[in-house]
Formats: sequence, C-alpha cells, structure tokens
Amino acid sequence: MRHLFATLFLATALAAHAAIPADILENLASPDLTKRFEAETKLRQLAFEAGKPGANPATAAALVNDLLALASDSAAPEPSRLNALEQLPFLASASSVPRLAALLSDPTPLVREGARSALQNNPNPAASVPLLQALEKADQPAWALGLMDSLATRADTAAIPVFASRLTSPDQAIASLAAQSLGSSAAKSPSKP
Amino acid sequence: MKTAPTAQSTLSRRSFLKAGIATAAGTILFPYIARSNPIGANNRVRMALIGCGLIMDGHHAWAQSHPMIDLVAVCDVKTSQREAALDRLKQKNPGAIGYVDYGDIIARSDIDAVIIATPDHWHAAISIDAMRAGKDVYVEKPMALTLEETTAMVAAEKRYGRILQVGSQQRSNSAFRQAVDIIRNGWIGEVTEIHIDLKNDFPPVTLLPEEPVPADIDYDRWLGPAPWRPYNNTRVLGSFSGGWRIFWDYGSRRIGDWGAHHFDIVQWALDMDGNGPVLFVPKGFEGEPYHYYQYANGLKVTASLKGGGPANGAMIRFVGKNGEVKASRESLETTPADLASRIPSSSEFRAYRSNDHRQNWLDSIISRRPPICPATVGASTFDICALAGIAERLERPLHWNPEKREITGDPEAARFAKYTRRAGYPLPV
Repeated sequence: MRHLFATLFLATALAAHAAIPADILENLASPDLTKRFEAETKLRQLAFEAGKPGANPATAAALVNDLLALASDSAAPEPSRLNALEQLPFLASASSVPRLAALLSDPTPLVREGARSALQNNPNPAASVPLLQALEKADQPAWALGLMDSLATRADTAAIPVFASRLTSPDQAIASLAAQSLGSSAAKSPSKP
Repeated sequence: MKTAPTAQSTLSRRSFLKAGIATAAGTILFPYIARSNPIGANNRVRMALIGCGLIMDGHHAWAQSHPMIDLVAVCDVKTSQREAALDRLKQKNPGAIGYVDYGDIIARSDIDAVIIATPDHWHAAISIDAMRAGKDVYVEKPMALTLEETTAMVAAEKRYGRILQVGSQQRSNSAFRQAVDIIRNGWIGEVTEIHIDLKNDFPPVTLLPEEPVPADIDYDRWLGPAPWRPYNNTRVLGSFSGGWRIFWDYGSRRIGDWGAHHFDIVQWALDMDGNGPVLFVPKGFEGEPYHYYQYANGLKVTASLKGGGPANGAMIRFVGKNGEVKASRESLETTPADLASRIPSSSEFRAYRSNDHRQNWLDSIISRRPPICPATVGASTFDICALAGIAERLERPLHWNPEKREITGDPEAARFAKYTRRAGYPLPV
C-alpha cells in the first residue's frame, strides 16, 4: 500500500515537476540514505546551477516553480518537501511570495520553518508582508520569535510598529526580542544625510 | 566584594525558562546586566569556560593554574563533558559551578571574562551576549559561521568596549611573526606566490540516520540557531578529523579549521587586516587543483586540501623575487638562510610581539589595550574562510568587495552571507 502510494505520488510528481529530474524526485525521500543524499546533492547542484550569474532566468524560474509546487504538495513525503524548501532561500523571487506565504500556515512545523527561511532571504520587499501577517496571527511563542527574527533580519521598517507593540508583551522573551529587533532595525536602516 | 549566585538564584532563573524556546530566550533577557565591578585592585580576573570539549582542554589547564585567574564556572550542554570539567575545576576551586545554559554565566555580574570553545555556530551569539554583559571574551577560531555574524561581533566589540581575542594563536608564534617581519620589510622582495597546506580535507558531508537523543545532551540547545536535524552522535561529536566539523551547519570544514590560522598569517604578512582578497576560486573549477584566492594586486594564494601541495612541506610558503619563506609552527626555513634570525632595525617594521596568545588576552583585559587578534582583525580573516567555503559549495568563483564586505555580481551567492536562525536563537546585538 505504501509502495503504491509512493508510486502514485511519483507519477503525479513527474508530470508536475518537469524541471526536477525523475531520479531526484524518486529518491528525495528514499529510506536508503545513500540514495537520498545523492538526490539531495543533485537537487542542490541543480539549484546552484540555476542561480549562477549568466544562467538562463527561465531555467531558474521553472526550477523555482517546481520547487514551490513540490514544497506545497501535501501528498508529497515530508523529506521531499523539506528538500525543496531548502533550495528556496537562495533562489526564491517576488513571484514566489504568495505560495511561500501559504506555507507559513502549513500544519507541518518544519515546512512552516522552511517557508519562513525562504521568505526571510527573499530580497523582494513584498516578502515581509506575509511574515508580518503570520506574526499577527502567531499564537505559539516560538513561532512568534522566529517570525520576529526574520523581520528584524530583513530590516523592513514596516515591522517597527509591530515590534513596538510587543515591547509590553507579557511573554518576556517576546518583549525582549522586540526591544532587540527595534535596535537592530534602527541600526540597519539607512541614515538620513 | 564579589558574590557568586546562590543555587536558589540559579534555579529560580532556570525555572522561568520553559518549553523549548525558553533556554534561548534567556540569552536575550539577561545580557543587559553589566558587570558591576571592574577588575579588582589585585588585578585578578574571574573567569568561566563555555564549551568544555576537545579544544577547551588546554584553555582549562591554563586558566585553572594561572596565578592571576580565578576560574569559577564551566558550561556545557553535554552533561559528561560539563561534569568532567567541573570535577577537574573543583580540585582547585571547590565552590565552582557547572551550567547547562551559558546565559547563567552571562547573568553573573561577578564574572569578568569567558573563554568560548563551543562549535562554531555558537561563537557569535555567546561572544556578543558576553560583551553586552560587560565581559571580555576569548573566542576560538574561526570566530563565527557567517559574514553577518562577524559584522555583528565587530560592532559589539566597538559598542561595548570589551576586549575580544580570536583564538588564532599563530599570531603569537615566533616563527610566523618572523615570517611577517620578513615579508613586511621586503627582505625577500616582492611576494609573487603564496601557498598554504590545509592538510587533507574532511570526509564529505553525509546523511546520518536518526538516533535517540541520549540523556547526556541538551540537543536542542546544542543545535541552537542551526537548522533542526535529526540527532546522530556523529553530528555532535568533537573530533579533529570529523564529527560536527564536517557539517556546513556548524563550521566551515577544513577551510575554516586550518584556514582560520594560515589565512590569518597571510593577511598579517601582507598588511591586509581589515581588507582582503577580491576573488575566490574553488578547487575543481576549470581544472584548478587547489582552492585559490587573489588580492587586487593580482597576488594569488593557493590552499591545498590534499595534504602537502605547493607549500612544499611548510604550513605556509611565501615566494618572493629575492627569496623564500617556509613557515610552520615549529620551524622557519628561509632563503637566504639568515633571514630566519634577522632582527628588524629600529627603522624597520616590527610586528606586534606576543609570545603567548592567552596571556596576551589577559594582559589586554588588565591594560585595556587591544589584543593581538581583536574582532576587527579576526573578521577579515574569517571573511576568507567564509567566502572560500561558499565558493566551494557553489563550485564557482566569487568576487568580493572587501571594503564594502559584499559579494558582487552573484545575488544567489550573496544570500549565503547569513542564514535563517532557528526560532528563539536570534543573533544578539
């Protein structure tokens, strides 16, 4: 049954992820760690190749699209989804933001964490918006701390009021990180002449 | 009068820390407590050790036996390591305390200085938290994991006015210092080649099967800011030939392991502290047998990961138009031979004299004068380790602007300057 499920996933995935070769897709969640590691390495090399200076932007866009599709596929094995997400902090662009935003509320914590990472590293200013929205809704202190750290790292001034509002949080870790984030945001903001 | 915290105060703090995130949160909450007392009139320094694995052994022996140091605490997330260090320390100081959470040491206003010898991914956060709390820091090399972290460490050193010594102890080695005097004074003429032996590379990174987390380790805290990975003993193992050192999540492999020493001497010899190379080419790129990096004037430095190579048996080989220097920790060979013992005249360059890296740090703690390898110096050496590592992973050359500290022309590579820290483990400021 498990084998059948995996075969069905693979058949669907092969059609959906044309930019990721079949042997990689097949082995990203292999119980054989040697095969899995080989697949992870190949996927990483594919991502590095797509992102290098002078690479065809269409190739990178196709890969990002397939990585996002794989990461968003709740039927895909978790290791496959996480491996797809691990490439996105280095490749994801403005067009990736909506699908990464959706993953911030994925039921799998490590998928949420991967989405946070990809959004944090996304150079497009739009990537701050879903992080801010997720922070507004965050009810777990650990998740809130992660989102605050991502926003502070991005040094987006839009986050300053959100940090300020958390200075009086009853959770001292959040209040303290809010103070630190305000300090680091101020330090990273371009100074006026 | 300095007073150690009572067990009660430690416990009450720990009881506050709950539910996974809390131990990390503690490092955020307490560093604002600045040291209340300056170094005492008797110039004794109260010190603690953080990370009691392989590398700490020598530091521990030094600090415990030093007549000017009161070693009062140790910290490690591995119970067996912590207890072993504490047992050893209690032979000298029965009142010493062992901690799991370094935040408990940071919170002690009676501690003046800390030695940090954790895995590399913890260096920056602990160093900054310690400096913010008014403590002086000796941090093992490489001083950080990412370019973002060294920027923060340099800023903290300046902001908090603390003494930070990076553990690049070859700066306090007479053979390397003599090499620096030779190069800086032009005694072998213009330097045309530099070759470094980084020894044989570590085994490749691999996937490890998940193992149950033993009771001996606080694994969440060991990982700290690094991405979550399943536990495996190899991942957390301290080993000079592997263990955590092979993983990019926790260190910079051989490039950081030995490069942090040898690149550091090259920087010093070329008077490039605070500056750096402009190009990094990984081994294997278009058939290159070795990693190399290049300065703006065209000078190339090769770094062999095969053991040996063009360094011809030395750790670092400088080739000049009028001679050669082969420098290692235990030996210095020069051509002409008399350069090895030549003393600079009063009008010539004389490198900073330190014959004992730890003592140099201790002297600086007392004098408040800069040590031989402060964060500002260590950062430009670490830049080389980090950039060579990024080039190795991406398998392509990188261009670097050392003045702006920016990777240029490669937006994907530039994103490697930092990583997403695990929730609850932000980089302090």
